[in-house]
Amino acid sequence: MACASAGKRDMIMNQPGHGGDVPVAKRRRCVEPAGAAAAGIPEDIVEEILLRLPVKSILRFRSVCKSWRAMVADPRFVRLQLDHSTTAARHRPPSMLILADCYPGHGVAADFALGMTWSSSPVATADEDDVVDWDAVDDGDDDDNLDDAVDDGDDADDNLDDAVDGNADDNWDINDGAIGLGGALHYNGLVLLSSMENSSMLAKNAELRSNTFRANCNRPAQKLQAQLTDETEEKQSKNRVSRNFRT
Amino acid sequence: MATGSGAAAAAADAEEKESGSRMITLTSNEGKAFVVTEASARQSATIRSMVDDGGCVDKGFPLPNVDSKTLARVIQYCDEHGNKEAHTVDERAALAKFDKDFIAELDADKAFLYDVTMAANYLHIQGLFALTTQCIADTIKGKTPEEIRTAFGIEYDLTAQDEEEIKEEDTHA
Repeated sequence: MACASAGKRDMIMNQPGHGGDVPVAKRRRCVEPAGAAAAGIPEDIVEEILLRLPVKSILRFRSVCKSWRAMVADPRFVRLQLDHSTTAARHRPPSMLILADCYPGHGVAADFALGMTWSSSPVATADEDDVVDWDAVDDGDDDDNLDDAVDDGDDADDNLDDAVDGNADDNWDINDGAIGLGGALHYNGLVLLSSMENSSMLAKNAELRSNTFRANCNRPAQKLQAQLTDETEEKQSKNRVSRNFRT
Repeated sequence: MATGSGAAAAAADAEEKESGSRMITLTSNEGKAFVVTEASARQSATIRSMVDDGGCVDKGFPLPNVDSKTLARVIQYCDEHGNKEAHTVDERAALAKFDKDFIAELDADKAFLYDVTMAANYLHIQGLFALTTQCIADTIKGKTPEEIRTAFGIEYDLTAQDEEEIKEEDTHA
């Protein structure tokens, strides 16, 4: 079992969004022999526990002892915590808001949202001439997540991938009828905005790149934003049509 | 299967079937042997890498850091996750329910929960480790620092100056 101590860190740290670049050797540098060791819990496990706490608790626990305080104050911990909360967020079912412009005949994303919201059909309700291949949404897998629609190429923007590309276990299938129509303008998940006249933005990743596109995740620790081309905030907010649905 | 490639494919199939049904012996620090399926054992990244490296599959794997009680519980998790499919919604729901019951039971015995957490860390069973550490986090998140010190047997070693600095950090936050 000589290799036992090296691998665990590698495995956890190599999770997407989990700070895989942290060298294993640096992991224990803020360890003090006192503290959790007294209860037989190694410092690195304590750290893993702290990483799973809400920020409020983490801040409060600076007052537990010197070693916990040092651990929390370590910039590396802060980065891991951010990565961790981002990763964890992706494993919860998000509520989702899709916003798009409302130029006549071009509210594809809005129609997309409507289609997702009111129908379990994978076929979009949009009937514009720039309607995209919605079959991409339904490829017959049992993990028909929305990411199938937007993540069908490896050239996708990384941020966007992070925002929408959960694993199959996420289980926020858009086709299983689990999505209800939300009332309030509430979201804690992915927001897509498009103000391009030709807003076939969910078509293909290639098109995602070329169209004006914004992905904005409004979870507390996950405010990542991807803006692929220049676009003014005013134009987006002025033109948006919104629908809200959550699983 | 008249062609050579067909025969080779058949042989590969047979080999795969064989490896899929291989049994692996894990031995606790008390010398108690636990025979598990390879699929179950592969839940542990430690064992998985050793198996893939062509390691001591036949001789089994001694686990000097894990006692029998803990190992039995860890294997219970690995059996469930290693031997069952998780392809359909129902299958995943069944696993999620297993996890929920599994952790609820562990949560009732904190010392044992810590043992299982450390074994999961040692054996690199990611799912189990995430499950147990999250459970501990959920337990302690509402506690005061004093309660944390009691729960973890931590000695209070902050100086007045440390406390002052923390207060200062809070006001700047």
